[in-house]
Amino acid sequence: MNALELQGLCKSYDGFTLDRLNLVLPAGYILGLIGENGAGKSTTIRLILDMIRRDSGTIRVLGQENGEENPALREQIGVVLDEVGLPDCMNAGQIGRVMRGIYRQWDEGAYRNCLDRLSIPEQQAFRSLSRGTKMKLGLAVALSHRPKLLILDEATNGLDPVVRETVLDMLREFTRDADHSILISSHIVSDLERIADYIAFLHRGRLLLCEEKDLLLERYGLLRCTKEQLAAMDPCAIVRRRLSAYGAEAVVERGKAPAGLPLGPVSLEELFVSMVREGEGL
Amino acid sequence: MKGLLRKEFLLLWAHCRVLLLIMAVFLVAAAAGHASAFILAYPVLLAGVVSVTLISYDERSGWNAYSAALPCTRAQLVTAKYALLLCCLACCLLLVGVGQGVRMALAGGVDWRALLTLLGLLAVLGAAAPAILLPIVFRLGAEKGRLAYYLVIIVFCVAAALGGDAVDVLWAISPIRLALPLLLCAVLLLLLSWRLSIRFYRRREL
Repeated sequence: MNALELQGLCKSYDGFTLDRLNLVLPAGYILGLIGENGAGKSTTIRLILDMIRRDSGTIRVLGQENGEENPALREQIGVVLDEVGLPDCMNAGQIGRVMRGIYRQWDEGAYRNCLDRLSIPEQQAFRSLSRGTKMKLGLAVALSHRPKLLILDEATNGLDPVVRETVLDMLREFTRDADHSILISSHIVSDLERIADYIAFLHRGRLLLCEEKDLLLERYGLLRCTKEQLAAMDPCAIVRRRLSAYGAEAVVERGKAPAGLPLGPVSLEELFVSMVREGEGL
Repeated sequence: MKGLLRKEFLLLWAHCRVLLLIMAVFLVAAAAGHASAFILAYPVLLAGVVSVTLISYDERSGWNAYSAALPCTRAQLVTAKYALLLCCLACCLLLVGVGQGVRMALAGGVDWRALLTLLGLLAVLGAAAPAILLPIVFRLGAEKGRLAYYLVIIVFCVAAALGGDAVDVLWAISPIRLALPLLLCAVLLLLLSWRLSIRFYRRREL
């Protein structure tokens, strides 16, 4: 079963259009949604959560149509939004008591465990927490009602490297269960590179690609060579080139590159930037 | 729903303690014998707009967007606000009733007809402002609804201030038949407003 299926999803605002988005997240995997600010990541997530109305297309979450009249399905979705959204005046203890009355499957033990593990103070009002701790508290809530799908919108932003590592570990642990899946959006590509199984590039409301991360990184490589060597290559193999006084650097498709040229690994960030720049003709 | 109500009351205690204090002062003043229309109506008006105030806090913290992802329907989210409103209004009216009852008793005897009519009138007054404001706020958001909020509050305060001595007026009217229709009118107003708010909030993009 797929945890998430989006087909032909469209949404238009003044000055922005999410254009026929197709995405599939198989159950048990992590899909990283990468895009620049304003690419449509949050819009996609808000559409999935039915916070905003789609113009067209279909959305299936855990095999069901998501909608406001389906609270049973929402029970199975843990959410952390970019603004978190927990009440400012409440502390972690009060938030736990509120959530216990909202989620039928609320697991107080799991919540306490998350608070401990993420070093979240229990008596401090949400408003007085740092952005990173707010995110951690949002994540603790999202993980404490036995969800099958986590939807995280820029959830690792604002976290220091140590906490980020803990959070990424917790997300990996979450997906050890074959029924558990995660959709995580970020513009910090390195986080997604470390945990995601599938990667989707979103740029100006359009999906550039959605593929298995390992296949993607196998397919593309970073070539450092002379300008002459680059000029001799099939232009179809080149995603993006950068020329300097010392030579040339290009992101290329390994399969189309001539044998014998030294191809290094390419990072998702380089690949994403290359595809975006290439698309814009920069 | 239990969790939503708990959250509303925690928010009420955290953000509206000053309002509760002002209400208490006015209630005591009214019970002590200064029963002008303004002094009687003001705490009820405040009780009526507590829900609207809390919606702006929700929007500021991002709760309105977050709550759309919770296993609650939008109707439940709206209902929690109306439930809080009813609790606040009911408590306020009860305190006004007790205060005025004691005042009357000390002055020679409780005029139940006048007291019930007064409470009916105050119920309509307390219900009218939120009944108008809440659907506007649920449709447009607290920011855009703020103008309507201030407008309604000003109109009601001016009306109450110009209303003269409410008790004297009510003493002059005091038909017992007025109390029940007034209460019914308040309930109907809120019911209509509640349905409208649910309808608006279901359509709203968060």
